[in-house]
Amino acid sequence: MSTIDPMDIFRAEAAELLEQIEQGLLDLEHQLDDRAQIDSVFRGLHTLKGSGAMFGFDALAAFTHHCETAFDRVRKGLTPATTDLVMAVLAARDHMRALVDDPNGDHAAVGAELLRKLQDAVAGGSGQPAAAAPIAEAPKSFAVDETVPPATAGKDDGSELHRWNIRFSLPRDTMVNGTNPLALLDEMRDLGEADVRVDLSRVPPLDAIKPTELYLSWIVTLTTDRPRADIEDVFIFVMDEMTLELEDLGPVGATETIPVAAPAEIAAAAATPIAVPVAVEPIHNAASAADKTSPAAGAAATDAKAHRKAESVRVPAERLDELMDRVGELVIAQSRLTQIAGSSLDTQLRTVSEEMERLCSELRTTMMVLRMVPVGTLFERFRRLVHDLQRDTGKTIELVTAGETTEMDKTVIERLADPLVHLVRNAADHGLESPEGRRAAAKSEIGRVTLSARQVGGEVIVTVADDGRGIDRDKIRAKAEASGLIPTGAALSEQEILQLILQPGFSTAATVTNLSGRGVGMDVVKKTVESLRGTIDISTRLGEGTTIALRIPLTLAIIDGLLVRVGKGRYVIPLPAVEECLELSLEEDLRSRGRSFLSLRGSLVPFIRLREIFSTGTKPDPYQKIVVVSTGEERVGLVVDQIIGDHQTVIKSMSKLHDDVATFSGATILGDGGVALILDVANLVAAGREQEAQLRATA
Amino acid sequence: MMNLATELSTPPWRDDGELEALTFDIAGETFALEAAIVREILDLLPETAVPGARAFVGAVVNFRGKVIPLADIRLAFGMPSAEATIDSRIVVVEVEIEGTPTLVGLRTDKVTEVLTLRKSDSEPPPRVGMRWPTELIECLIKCGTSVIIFPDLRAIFAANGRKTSSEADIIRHPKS
Amino acid sequence: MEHIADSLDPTPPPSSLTIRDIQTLHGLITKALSGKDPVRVAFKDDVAVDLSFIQLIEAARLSARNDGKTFSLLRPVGGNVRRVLERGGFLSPTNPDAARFWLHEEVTP
Repeated sequence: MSTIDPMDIFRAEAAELLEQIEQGLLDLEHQLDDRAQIDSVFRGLHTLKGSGAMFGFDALAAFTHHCETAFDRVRKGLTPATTDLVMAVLAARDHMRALVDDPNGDHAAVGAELLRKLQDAVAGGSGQPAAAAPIAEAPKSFAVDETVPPATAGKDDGSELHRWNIRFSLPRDTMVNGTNPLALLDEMRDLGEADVRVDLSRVPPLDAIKPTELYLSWIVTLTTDRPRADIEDVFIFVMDEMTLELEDLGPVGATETIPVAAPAEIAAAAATPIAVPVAVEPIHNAASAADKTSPAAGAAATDAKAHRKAESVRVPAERLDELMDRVGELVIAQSRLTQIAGSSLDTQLRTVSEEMERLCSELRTTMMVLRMVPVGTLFERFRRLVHDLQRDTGKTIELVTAGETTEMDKTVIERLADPLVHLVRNAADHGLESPEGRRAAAKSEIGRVTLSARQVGGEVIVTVADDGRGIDRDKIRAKAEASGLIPTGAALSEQEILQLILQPGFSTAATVTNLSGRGVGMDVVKKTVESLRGTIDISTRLGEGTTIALRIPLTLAIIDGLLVRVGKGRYVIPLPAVEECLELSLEEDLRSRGRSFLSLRGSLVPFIRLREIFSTGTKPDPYQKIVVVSTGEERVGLVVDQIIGDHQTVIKSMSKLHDDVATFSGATILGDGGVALILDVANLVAAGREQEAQLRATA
Repeated sequence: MMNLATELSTPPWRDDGELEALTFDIAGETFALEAAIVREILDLLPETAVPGARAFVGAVVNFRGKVIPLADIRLAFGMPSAEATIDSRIVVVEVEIEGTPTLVGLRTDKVTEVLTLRKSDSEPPPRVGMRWPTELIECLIKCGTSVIIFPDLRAIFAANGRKTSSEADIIRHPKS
Repeated sequence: MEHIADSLDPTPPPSSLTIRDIQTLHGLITKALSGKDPVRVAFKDDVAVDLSFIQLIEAARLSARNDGKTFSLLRPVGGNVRRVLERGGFLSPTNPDAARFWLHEEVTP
């Protein structure tokens, strides 16, 4: 059993923190007084610094410390959040990423420059030098405290000494994540007189302990004049996942009260393994309720975040892939068992086989769900892209996202990233008009790019839409004819014309000014989407905008297929592409020699004799079948020797040694252990199209 | 012609100049591959032809639930293919192809033994007099009275029929 | 960790008593406790130490108690280890057992 490398955990954690920091900064840029985001950025920086130091990323820790200090000042109201500051920290955040990726590289010069900018930003905002004021030296009363209403009656001035009974336990992965619980305890001691007692009752014996996890919890009796919010503030970095019980034992004064938690009771709790009752109250809610300085919007944002951070387990992706492989093998073994049971008279065997089949199917479904991640994780990256595009294009662009909770297979999401970058960039660069252009067209100066996702049946449709100038079909046609992509005057549907922009040959041209650039990389988009067994729909209205929809099947790993035989080989045709199956009559066969077209309800459909292109060297079966497949609008008939039947297929990729074979998109293992290749329908349809073009040319 | 591929990967001799190698026979010659890359030795498996693939990787097999390509060194070396015999085995090796670790099955006539080879016994393939293309051979190793051929798998998988890979090699090693 | 008494493990002892080496330490202590009885542990006071180690020793104490074995420290702790114990609230006067184990002190409550 492999163990997880703590460094990998740190890198994964750092990536998430950097993401959190970036998102927070981008939000702040729009609303500079957003308390929730200021806290979020500060927390991110603080945790990154701590984890970095713990895992030996000293340069990262040192650099991040300065940004954290700056944000601590913002948080305490000593320095206002300004656009300059946000930009400076945003730049610094990119540098942190470099420090994570390459901790031993020479980054000093860049770092120094960034820090200088950061200092300028802080000094510019507050009118005082940004000398890194350590947190401990910060003034005792924070500006924000004045607006915090007293959480408990009887401490209006907040200066009265109260005794608090605090019990808390931290998430199991606290230590791995680099948070040092001792620092929290020290912070609590800073608040007043603290009596700290550890609770060992949840520490398991040696053979059951995961030594990197935290089982300790603490009971603290604190005597302080600080308000509840200050105590909660101690836990600001971990509060999303911890449990905290905060009990006000009342004022300490003339009537000295004995703490409720008597020492004897604590000792008993520590000695015997009795679970200490802990009120599972996410401190988080209390904090946002107390934080009246932020308007409802801020609170809503934090709530949404809490929702997103629902309890989860971090699993390395390759383990999921391994598990998927095992499930795949199980499905294969199961289909063998079904075969054997089917030909057996043993009813008990049949019953067991059916039960296994049900379980396998459920396991498969569960497995699929495990691999699903919300597409929002992908969308978040685009806010930065649009932010940069605004700067580069001089256009004001609003990015609207919708359907972030739509889930897709993890691998699919990763592979969609690049195509979507192309599409969003194109929409911003070329789809949207200049501000003057928009004014002239009586549109809002703010161009809008919408990124959305929704699930329809077995597909997820990811859409990139802009409200720009739209695509001129006539110009595309002219361009395609000029470049020889299509014959002059070819009869093409509107969709067919639009699809031309996806062709590799259809590149930028001065004559198509409003499209320049759209050709670049679009063939890459097409290729990627097709490799995901997806399709692209384009719709556009002149002057109103363009929408490009990527229709992607929900999962890559398992498809339903039609198993056929050609010569001695067995092949799988993805079922969603199959339109119908026909018999190729002898006369049709003879008549079509040299032509290979089939008249199907009045329209001509090209057909491909797979036996010929596969060079099987066998005699055709007397009654050949035609499987008609399509990719939306185009169709092609595939002539096969035999249709074996439906087959649920676990897709295995082919090695790089077979990269040059475009006819197949993968392979699968059959019930008898043999291998069947999966036909790439898009490729075969293209081959059919060529055949058709040849025929038209010679006709 | 300069043999660029050979420069890229010589047998990974240990510091003491020795190497554990698996030897096997193909077409009456003895071949060797470093034992470290060998994953498994299998009896013949049902093969599935891949129409349109290059002849020397013309089939795939099911290796423990994975679909792996089956390579035939005979065909790579331009020799006619041969019928399988009772001694025929598939040697599954893990090699890096275009940066991806890949399992590949090699057809062999017979697997003989694991030997310790010495660097001092090795020499580059002669320019003339070889019945096989020298650029696909890493080196020859004398072992008693016989000669063992150490094939260059990387060159074999890169060279055969696809220009892109060998071009890439040239770009990485310009002839200055 | 200097050594674990009664353990002949040739593995070099880890350089710190922190989460970086905690897996190794876990292995060492588990092995020691599965062997002879009693087991006594010794470590330097100036070594880097964090809560994960203290927690591990507490787990070992619990295991030893469950198995009726004797598990103790060769000498009372000081330096860094003691500071972590104090900061973490392990040496509360309400828990004389802890003082006995870690400090070899008898505390009269």
